[in-house]
Amino acid sequence: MQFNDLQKIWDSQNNKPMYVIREEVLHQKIIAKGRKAGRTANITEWILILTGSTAAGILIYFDFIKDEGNTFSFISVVLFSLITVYGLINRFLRKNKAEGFVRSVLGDLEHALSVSEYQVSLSKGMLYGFWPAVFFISLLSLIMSDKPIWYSIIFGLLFIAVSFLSRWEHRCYVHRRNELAALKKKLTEETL
Amino acid sequence: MINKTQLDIFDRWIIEFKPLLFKVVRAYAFTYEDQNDLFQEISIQIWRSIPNFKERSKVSTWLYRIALNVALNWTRKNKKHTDGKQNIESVKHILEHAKEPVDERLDWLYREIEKLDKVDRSITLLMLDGFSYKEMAEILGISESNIGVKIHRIKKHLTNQSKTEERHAI
Repeated sequence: MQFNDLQKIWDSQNNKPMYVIREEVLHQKIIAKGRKAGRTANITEWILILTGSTAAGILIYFDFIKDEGNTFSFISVVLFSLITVYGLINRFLRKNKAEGFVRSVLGDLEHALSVSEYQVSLSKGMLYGFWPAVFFISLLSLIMSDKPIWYSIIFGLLFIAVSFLSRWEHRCYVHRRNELAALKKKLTEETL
Repeated sequence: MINKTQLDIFDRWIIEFKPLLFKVVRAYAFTYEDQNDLFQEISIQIWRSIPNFKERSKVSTWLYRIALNVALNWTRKNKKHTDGKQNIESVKHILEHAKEPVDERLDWLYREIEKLDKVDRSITLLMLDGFSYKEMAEILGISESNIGVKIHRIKKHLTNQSKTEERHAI
């Protein structure tokens, strides 16, 4: 064979698909991603429900049974109760929505994406809504009490550290959501 | 660069230049697992490099450079990889060879390319894909005259090997 013949053999592959996507493996990966998103959402919801109800319970004990409450602790009871209800309602809605997805590559991908989007909105709600509210009420309560000022300073520093970690966690959820969205875009534009 | 723009460029390049990337993958990785691993590494590097693309060279030249650099590094690193430490999800491969009739002559050509040393392998891929000496020198960081010498030797080697194979009925 001359080199030109080798060149022709090489060029012959240019018009043929060399690889295809294995649909069943891709499907398994999507299901695994969906399960992971579901587990994360489940843990987040339980954290919300348990911390909210425990905190509200403790405050109710001091406010109404021990009768040691003040304005801030009453507001905190309402806030923690709202967090618990928020966690419960969201969990109920998520579980209900999960039934509506078709068991196919695209259906499971849409399910995984929907749970991921839910997780993003949940963490966003906590990051920019509930936790700052809890912080300001607790901080005001500390300032108005007889506690030394450094209590408030330490509390403020802790809140900054927690906010930083929450933002990092939120970015992880956004990244996972974007990955799934990009995969969906690819799958809907390209035929498997 | 805005992520959306970067994503659009990445999608377009991956679709358009998939055959080019697979040639590099096939020349440097020999099992499905390794080919998947290498393809993933190349894709990640392409994604990271998009903001640095200044349009001073053709996209294909740019991508070939990235793919070959990653492949060369990957073959060095790959020796350190230990089996059995990856989870089942990462071992399973998403890509598989298309169910096209096997072209034995092309398979033979890839096998011969695989036998070459790492740099000669890169030069052979670029040569067969029609890159000029200047482009090859730019991609591989070797002088044009050195490229010329190597190409002459590779062509001679491949044609000699093909003659031996022809005698054994390919």
